[in-house]
Amino acid sequence: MHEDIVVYVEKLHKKFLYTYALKGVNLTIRYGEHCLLLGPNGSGKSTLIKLLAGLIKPSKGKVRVLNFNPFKEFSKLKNYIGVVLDDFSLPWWTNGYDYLKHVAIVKKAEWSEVEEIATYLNVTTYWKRLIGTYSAGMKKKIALVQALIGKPKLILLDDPFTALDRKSRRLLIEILKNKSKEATIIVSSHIISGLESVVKKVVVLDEGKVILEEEMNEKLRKIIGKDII
Amino acid sequence: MKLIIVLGAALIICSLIVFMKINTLSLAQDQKVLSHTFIKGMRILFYIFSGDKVDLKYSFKGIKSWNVYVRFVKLSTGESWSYSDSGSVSEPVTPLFIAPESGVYLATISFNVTPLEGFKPMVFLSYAVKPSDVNSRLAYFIPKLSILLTLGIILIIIGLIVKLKRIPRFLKLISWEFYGFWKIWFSLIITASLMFLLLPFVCFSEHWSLISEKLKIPFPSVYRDPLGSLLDRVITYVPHTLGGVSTFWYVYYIYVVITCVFTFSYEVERKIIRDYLSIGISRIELYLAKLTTCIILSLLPLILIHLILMSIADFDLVLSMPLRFLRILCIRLMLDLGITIIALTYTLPPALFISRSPYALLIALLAPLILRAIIPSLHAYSPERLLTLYDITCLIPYLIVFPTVLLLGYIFMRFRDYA
Repeated sequence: MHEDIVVYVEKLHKKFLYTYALKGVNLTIRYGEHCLLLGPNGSGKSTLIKLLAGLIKPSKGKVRVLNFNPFKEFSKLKNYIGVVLDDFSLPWWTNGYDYLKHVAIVKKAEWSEVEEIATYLNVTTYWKRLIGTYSAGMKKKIALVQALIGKPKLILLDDPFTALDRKSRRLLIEILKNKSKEATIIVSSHIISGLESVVKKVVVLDEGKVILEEEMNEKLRKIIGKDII
Repeated sequence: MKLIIVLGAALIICSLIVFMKINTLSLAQDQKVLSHTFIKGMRILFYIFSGDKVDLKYSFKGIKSWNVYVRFVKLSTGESWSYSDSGSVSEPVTPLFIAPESGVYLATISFNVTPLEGFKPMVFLSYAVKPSDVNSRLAYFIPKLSILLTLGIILIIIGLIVKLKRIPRFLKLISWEFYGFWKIWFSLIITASLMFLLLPFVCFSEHWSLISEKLKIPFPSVYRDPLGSLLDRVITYVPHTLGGVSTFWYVYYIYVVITCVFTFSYEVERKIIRDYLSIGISRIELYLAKLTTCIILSLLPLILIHLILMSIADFDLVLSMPLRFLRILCIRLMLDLGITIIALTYTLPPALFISRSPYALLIALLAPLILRAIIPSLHAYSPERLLTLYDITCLIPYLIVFPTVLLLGYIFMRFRDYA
């Protein structure tokens, strides 16, 4: 495998009980090849992100992320990735400030880095309140901060814009633009306007299969810019 | 680091082997028959326990008169006990030595004989060790075994933590597990509730003899020391006041169930464990941190109760005989650990393997009752025996099942999907 390959997926299958969520997915993403995953509900985008994050094990096929097997070598991979899942959950009994402090310790991130991103996303205005009292958007911003800190080499974002207001979406895209210089970003989203300036590759999934894998071009950029997919 | 883990495991295995051997020792009778023409200053070493009886038997042949001198010396203290006798009968009444304390004794046996003319003088000597009850051996071994076990567990934990190469990080993970408003508070509330029940009986201890006589509570003789017996009564009496020892056990068990289910099952159900994994905590770190939290939280009320009650009940003893205090405390903590192991053996499987917390809670609560109904022989290993009779043998199956549960729990946590 080439050293510049961040994600290598070959004939990947994932079965949940009797249903296949992924049916033989092949995908290669190189360093800096920020990727947008598109597809209808149930197409396997979230499953693919969970597999890349090492949270679930593949039923069949090969997955390499940053040259690690994400499930078997999770302890090595975890230091290099930042993840936000679509149905993420935060410990409700703590406050955002303490939670992010804990994440900073776990990820060995500088507190100044946390403060910088949190301030940019306007998290500092409410982060001392209990997480249990947050709105969905507030929680999402806390989850985004935890994924973006610690200088990850790969950022996996599943539906990052859901529950965010327009201003926060714009701010997040700015952060992603900034982060795209040092990390590879894989983002799955139905809200895609603005992402055309970040992503360099578009992968469309349907019924657990890759039906389109294309480098970003003017045509796609226009389609994404108009948010018509 | 592997060496430290192996050393710790070896210590645990050795101490468990000794522990299991205690029962068989109680059945053994060491009998030796010696035949000598003339015996002077014969030395025999005995490793015996408090209450064990050394039965010396000697007889003579071709002897006109004899003198016997027997001396037992306890090697650790130098204390000695002597016996001498003389006579002319060939099969005299022989002495019986009852060991006052456990330890190694050196017996010196000397005979002076006057032989009959024309006969070859013969002295027949035999001895048998008749062991006392198993509790004497337990009382002697438990503090030592508990030190070995604790040392073994500490070595394994140190080995595992250092193997993770992130000691401060692991400690941070444990402190995070304790973070939050309820875990410590819940533990302290349970402790305070039990203390509230126990305190009046400690403060008015003059009523104890009356209460214990009425209730006919069994107290093993080995614990009949000023501090031990009082606490035995305290711990044993309260369950009776609450309607039986089972109530005491179930109050504690419900607490352990809630702690474990909320630490594992609830966090899996609410996808909080998945969140911890996604922020970069490895599965083994998370499992160890959560397990350590469960063990600490389960032990905490019992340890606190013992420490506080022992200090209140016999504060003078703490100052005057700290070593004796520590010895009794060691036995108590061993019992606490035993109770915790039993509770966790029933609680951890549902908490680990069932990802719906209400079901896990229900199954964990009913598990001891269901298992006892299915396997009636489990009554012989019920935790109530540990609470009232200090019958540590009831721990034996749990000492095998508990590590298996921990191992299976890790395998399950390591290989399950967090979708």
